[in-house]
Amino acid sequence: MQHRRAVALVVTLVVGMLALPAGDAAARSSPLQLDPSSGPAGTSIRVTPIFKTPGGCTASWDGQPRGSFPCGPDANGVLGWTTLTAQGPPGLHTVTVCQPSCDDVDSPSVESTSFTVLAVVPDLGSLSLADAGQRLERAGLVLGTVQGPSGDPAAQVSSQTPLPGAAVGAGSAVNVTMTLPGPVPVTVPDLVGRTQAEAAALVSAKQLVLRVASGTGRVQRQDPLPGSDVAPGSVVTVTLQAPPTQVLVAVPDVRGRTAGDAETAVAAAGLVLRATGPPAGTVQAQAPAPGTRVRRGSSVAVTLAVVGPPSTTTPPPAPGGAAGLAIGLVLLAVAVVLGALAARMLHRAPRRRSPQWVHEHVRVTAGANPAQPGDTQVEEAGPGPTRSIGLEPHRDRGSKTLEEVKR
Amino acid sequence: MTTIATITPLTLRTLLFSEGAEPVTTLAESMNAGGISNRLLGAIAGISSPARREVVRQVATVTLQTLDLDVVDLVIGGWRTHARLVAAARRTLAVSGSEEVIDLVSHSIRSVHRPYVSILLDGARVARLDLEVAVVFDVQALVGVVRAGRLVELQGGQCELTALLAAEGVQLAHRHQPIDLRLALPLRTGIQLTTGDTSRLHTPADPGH
Repeated sequence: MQHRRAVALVVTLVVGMLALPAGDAAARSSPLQLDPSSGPAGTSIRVTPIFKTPGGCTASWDGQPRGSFPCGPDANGVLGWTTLTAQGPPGLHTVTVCQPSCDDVDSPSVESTSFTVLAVVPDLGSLSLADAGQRLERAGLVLGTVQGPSGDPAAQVSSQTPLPGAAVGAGSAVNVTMTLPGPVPVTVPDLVGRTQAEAAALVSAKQLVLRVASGTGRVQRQDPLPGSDVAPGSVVTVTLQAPPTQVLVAVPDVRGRTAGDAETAVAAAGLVLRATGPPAGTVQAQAPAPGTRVRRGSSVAVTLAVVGPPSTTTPPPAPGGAAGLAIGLVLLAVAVVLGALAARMLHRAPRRRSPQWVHEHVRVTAGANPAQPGDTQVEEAGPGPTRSIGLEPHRDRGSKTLEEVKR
Repeated sequence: MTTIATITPLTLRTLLFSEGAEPVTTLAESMNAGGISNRLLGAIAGISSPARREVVRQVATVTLQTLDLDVVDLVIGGWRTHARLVAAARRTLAVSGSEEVIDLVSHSIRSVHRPYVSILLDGARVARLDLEVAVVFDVQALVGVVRAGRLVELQGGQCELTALLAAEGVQLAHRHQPIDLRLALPLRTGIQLTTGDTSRLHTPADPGH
């Protein structure tokens, strides 16, 4: 039956195109409208025959019947149409509509035209050159130009034109660029909510590098996001929960105090004293100035100098009254400044304790408290009361979690 | 990178401070560089610089003592929460002479410890140093053999160990190293997997965090 239909169709087409007068040919084999006229397999095609008389029609795809539909003009003059789905390999395919049926070998009205099934470019990413060629062949395409190390069997397709998914004519060429594969990417772990130490451990385990953008405490944000695939050695930037707390303290006024008193006052404010000058001296100058607010842990520089008792020598009578007094004051000020400079040069080196002094004054006792294993005492005996610094370790059994990795 | 094949107990202390200078000096220098020493000493007024230096050294010494944690114990502790291993241990205990081979799949064991050191001045607590120790074992493609409730053999697979010591958000020491668990674990006598406490067993559906 199929064979008979096909023969009848061919006969009808040949007769229609060659044997009939021009006017009849237009009536019996007029152009068939396809919309669209090309597309990849699966495309829906609107098929509209241009028959002048209304009636029933049958449509076929490559000679295979695809159903009947009303055709010709309706009462409003609108032509009947049907829908076919493109199928088959890339290339030309024949769409035929007969009225009333292609089996009617006596007097069918036939319209026929071609639809071009386009090839869809496959994704060649990461394929070897040989595999890419085979995949193109299966898709009805051919390999075009090849750039990069095509001779290296380890090379993989890194880019292609046209891009995957594009519809092109059958037999079209696809150009590829080959590259050698890089390191295996690693997946960025989820760091949100972790402490910095945990985050660093997790990141290191993935051969990544942790960078803290700002803050302290637990991770609030991360970049790249968890689950991203990145190259080993990539930087994962995290933002911790809060910016570091800037504790500001006021610099105490230590002018006129001894070195020991100054150190105590500065340390009480959470600052560190840096003194220059004779240890037996008193503070002559300090920086920053008293009252200045600085970060806790900052240094306070002081200059020590030994200031002698006021001179009891009676000055010679001023030769010129007030002018002589002024000159005397200037000379006295110059003498004080020079004295301070000389003392500073002589004692520029920081105060250092000898090993003997340390041996005699600083004592370390480990395990001083049997109730607290690891307890340590550091004692310092000086001119004042003995100071005792105790250290108590507190161990933590820790928490363990086990996580299976889905790969 | 060398693989650690250990017979003597491997502690976090030796893992983190086995390279470079003497551990106390190394750690004290890290604490100085990270600003931790200054913060602690800010709370201790009226002592000389030599005494201050000694305090920092002793803080480092005490901190190192908190790192005397056996790495193997941490792995075993993690596996004692592994649901399939523990279930296999119970079944092999129930059926005398039975043996099970368990695919441990890829998993990680994370052990986090937060010890701290209190600093007392003339008996009064004036400061505290909060420490954080994180250890992560990344185990891949390991197969365990369980017999009579004990893990007696490991096959294939590999394990990478990452350890980190931080104080108040400042990293003080870090180490990333493969570890040969077959050499590190006491498999000759077997590792008891059941402890009676099953409240924290993890299953694949409950990753445990």
